[in-house]
Amino acid sequence: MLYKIRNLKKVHGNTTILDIHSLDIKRREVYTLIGPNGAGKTTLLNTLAFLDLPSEGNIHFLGKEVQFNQRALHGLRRKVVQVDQYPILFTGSVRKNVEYGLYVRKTDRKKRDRIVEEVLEMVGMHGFINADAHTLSGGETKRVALARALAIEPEVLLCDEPTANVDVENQKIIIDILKRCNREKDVSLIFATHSLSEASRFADHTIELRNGVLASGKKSNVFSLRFQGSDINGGHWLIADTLPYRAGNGEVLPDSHNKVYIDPRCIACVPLSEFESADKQFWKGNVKKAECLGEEVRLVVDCGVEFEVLMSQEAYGQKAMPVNEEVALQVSLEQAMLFTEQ
Amino acid sequence: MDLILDSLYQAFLLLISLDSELLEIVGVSLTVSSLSTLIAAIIGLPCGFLIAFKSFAGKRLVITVLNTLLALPTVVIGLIVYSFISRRGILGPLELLYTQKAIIIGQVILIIPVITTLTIAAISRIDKRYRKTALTLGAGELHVALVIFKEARYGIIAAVIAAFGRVIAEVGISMMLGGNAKGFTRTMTTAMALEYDKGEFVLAVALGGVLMAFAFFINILFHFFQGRTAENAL
Repeated sequence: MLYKIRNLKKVHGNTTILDIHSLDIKRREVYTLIGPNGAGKTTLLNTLAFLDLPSEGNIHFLGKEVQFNQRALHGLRRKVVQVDQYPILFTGSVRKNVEYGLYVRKTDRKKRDRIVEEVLEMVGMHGFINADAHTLSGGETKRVALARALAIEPEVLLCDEPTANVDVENQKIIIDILKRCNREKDVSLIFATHSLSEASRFADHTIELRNGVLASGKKSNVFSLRFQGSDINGGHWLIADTLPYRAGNGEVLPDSHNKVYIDPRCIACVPLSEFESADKQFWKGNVKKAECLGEEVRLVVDCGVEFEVLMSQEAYGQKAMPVNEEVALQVSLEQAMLFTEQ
Repeated sequence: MDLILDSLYQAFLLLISLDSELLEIVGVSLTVSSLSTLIAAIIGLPCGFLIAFKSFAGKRLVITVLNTLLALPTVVIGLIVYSFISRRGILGPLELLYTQKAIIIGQVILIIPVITTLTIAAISRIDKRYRKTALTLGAGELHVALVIFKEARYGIIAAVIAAFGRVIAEVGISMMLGGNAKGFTRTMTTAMALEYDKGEFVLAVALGGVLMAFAFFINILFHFFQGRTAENAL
């Protein structure tokens, strides 16, 4: 076991940022950490990186209980590395940045040069080896920060929102790098993300945090997707083996996928009494839970299948859908993320 | 008006002829100011770094006291140091009074708060992520400190330049502790005060010109490094 966390609490003043009763993280696997803003994702990552000390509780790392003194933490930090959401590069060249971790470990120059070239090649930044680090774009900075982290051959790589604020091309490159470092270098990977679709793409496990507490391990709004019928005109799709979905005009869903993730922000939810149903496909349900999460409201709606819906407080205020209210949900699978899970 | 113009003309001649007395005074000034800045930097930079970097009880009070010490008049420092190094003082047997060492001691006391407070400001401006990044990459406290120092280098250099500017232009400490002995403790500012007392304006104006040239050069350097700090912060 990589991490074994018990009764972990992080308190700031009177606010409990993190309260995890029990969490086990296995070696060499990919974990994604999801949850809304302020859920405690970054605090948990900082704690796992031994950069932030818990207020209570204990952590076992690689079978040994972590002692929270500077000397012990310094030793542990040499096995774990974290890449921030907005990584910062030191003043100097890309080479100087990437070799920093090796330099503080007193790795000899020849080996340092070899590793720097290797990891920069891996992240596709070899051409920038002598460039001034502060002249790089956001996506390039993230890739160099990843190379800098990988250069020290960590046991664990922690990434906070690795693909946030970078263009689509760089997002793909970063995801590929993360996959490769897990598969080729056996690095355990834990990354925080807002995007459940990203989480679903290649994580072995999902850790969901809500208000600093672990939510159920099940991914929200991820359902099975099956086609029923003989052909596309005569049949329909079945979500979670329960809800029928008829494809709209010109909407063709590829049959190679068997799972669907529906972004909770892309679900239209209105009180049933206000819903005009003419020619519109919808599912009827009851609000089971309504809670405020920062600037958003999270609804759990039971339509036979439980959906999570996120909407702005302003939108929720206009519609007023308290618990037990009958609502209509509208979803377009064109906007949903389809994927295959074995 | 004639007096000013004549003095300026004579001073100009003195400067271009590289008058030996003038060079000697400038030499003493530069030696004393450089040494006091060096010693104050050796003490003030680590102090500023530790105060900015560490959390401890009374940190705000320490910063407030240091800020107050920035306004300490040179004559007060002169008096305090005098009481220690005069013949009846506890450091009397060391016979420091009216030596360059005495001026250096006073000037060091004068500019330690300058270097410390400006270092605190420079370090505090550095993005917290530098420390976090160095730590997660496996750096120990010393390496983390070096990273922060490197990132704050322009602000720190500006602090040292500001301190040098302060000591090269001060007169109270040099006069009270140095005694204005020709060839030994006569600095540009004390020489100017003496020449003024004698009614001899030519050397005073020439020295004033040199001092202004230094001040101008120091300000250019200071603004250059301040500018680099601001650029780095962007």
